Amino acid sequence: MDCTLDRHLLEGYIDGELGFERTLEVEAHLASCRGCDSEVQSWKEVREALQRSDLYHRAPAKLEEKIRRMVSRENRGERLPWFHRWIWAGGGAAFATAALLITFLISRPGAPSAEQEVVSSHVRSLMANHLMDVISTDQHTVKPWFDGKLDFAPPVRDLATEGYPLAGGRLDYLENRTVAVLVYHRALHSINLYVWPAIDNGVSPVRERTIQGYNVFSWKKNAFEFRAVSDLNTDELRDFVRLITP
Amino acid sequence: MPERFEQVVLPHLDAAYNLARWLIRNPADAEDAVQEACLRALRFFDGFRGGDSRAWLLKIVRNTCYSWLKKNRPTELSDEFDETVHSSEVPGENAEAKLVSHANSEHVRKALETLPAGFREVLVLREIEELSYKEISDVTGVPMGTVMSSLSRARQRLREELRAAAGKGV
Repeated sequence: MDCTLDRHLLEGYIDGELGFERTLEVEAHLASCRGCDSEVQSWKEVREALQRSDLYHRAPAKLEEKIRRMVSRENRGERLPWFHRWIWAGGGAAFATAALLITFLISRPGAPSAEQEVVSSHVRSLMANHLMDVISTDQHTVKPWFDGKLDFAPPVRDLATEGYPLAGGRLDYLENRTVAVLVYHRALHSINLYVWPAIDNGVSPVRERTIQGYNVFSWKKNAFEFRAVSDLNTDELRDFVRLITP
Repeated sequence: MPERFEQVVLPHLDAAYNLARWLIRNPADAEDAVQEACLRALRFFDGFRGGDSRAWLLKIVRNTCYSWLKKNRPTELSDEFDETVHSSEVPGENAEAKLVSHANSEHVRKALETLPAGFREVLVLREIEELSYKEISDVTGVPMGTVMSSLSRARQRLREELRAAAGKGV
């Protein structure tokens, strides 16, 4: 069997997370690949079994009552004894963890999910030591590397003479699609530049944000969406953005 | 405020309990965890800025359950992330057919219950609660790419469990 379909595409198809075109692409593949087709069918059977009602645990009726009572007690300023037990039993640490998590949740007021996603992806690329799939300072090596891996040709420019040498590229997954990522260096900083085709031909001005200490610049030009993410300072990143799409 | 809290939280009580029940696997403790989570939710309700209230509540429930597991069954959380996918071979059609015939809900329940908590969680959220990748990422606090790969591994593990059960002729 020489099936070359990306596993993520097949899973994305099973989960209905692909766009229209990708769905058609996978369906065309399924028509000719028995392995993938039987995998999809068998998962559908498993899913049906998983979704049968006896696997869903509904909340007992008395739980809702308990919670309503708890809410009104809490609003009268009383504390529940079992809550104290929890705290003294060492639940304090756990509670603090939750508090921290929730504070974190609150402290990023309404960051659009797309930008948050870009930052997560940036951090992941640094943490997982997976910054680049193709390592080259040569734009004529990096650009062809994307051929056949993407349904678009990302613009690739080396900016070594301007002080931002191209270091390589990789594929990543953002906003339900595969995107090109170009990696540039500036001294010890890495810049991840995400590129994918825009839905329309419009142009949108550069939007600057700081999320979790990273600078995120978002803009749209020449029918591409761009996101530049780095721990580089705002001025230099702004300069970089200006060089990428003059 | 209490009225609004109840309107935001109570509609998702089934989802909250279902997740807690699958993570903790025992009705009484799951109930306590949901109650505890609702109390936390109430205390932090000012921080809720509208949006996806189900994901918001499930995130708190999940964290409460993990704290509970860490305290009461620490071994359960230790065995999951060093896991590598052991069978890389694509299952033959016979194996798949066998798998399908065993995909009744009792087998699936048993198979799902034996998976590590992290895999169980992602499958419950995706397949039973029908959350999108994005929502799962919000609930579990891990990036979408990681959601996709753990879902993929979880599916593989569930298949293996089902196949093993089929092999034993259960």
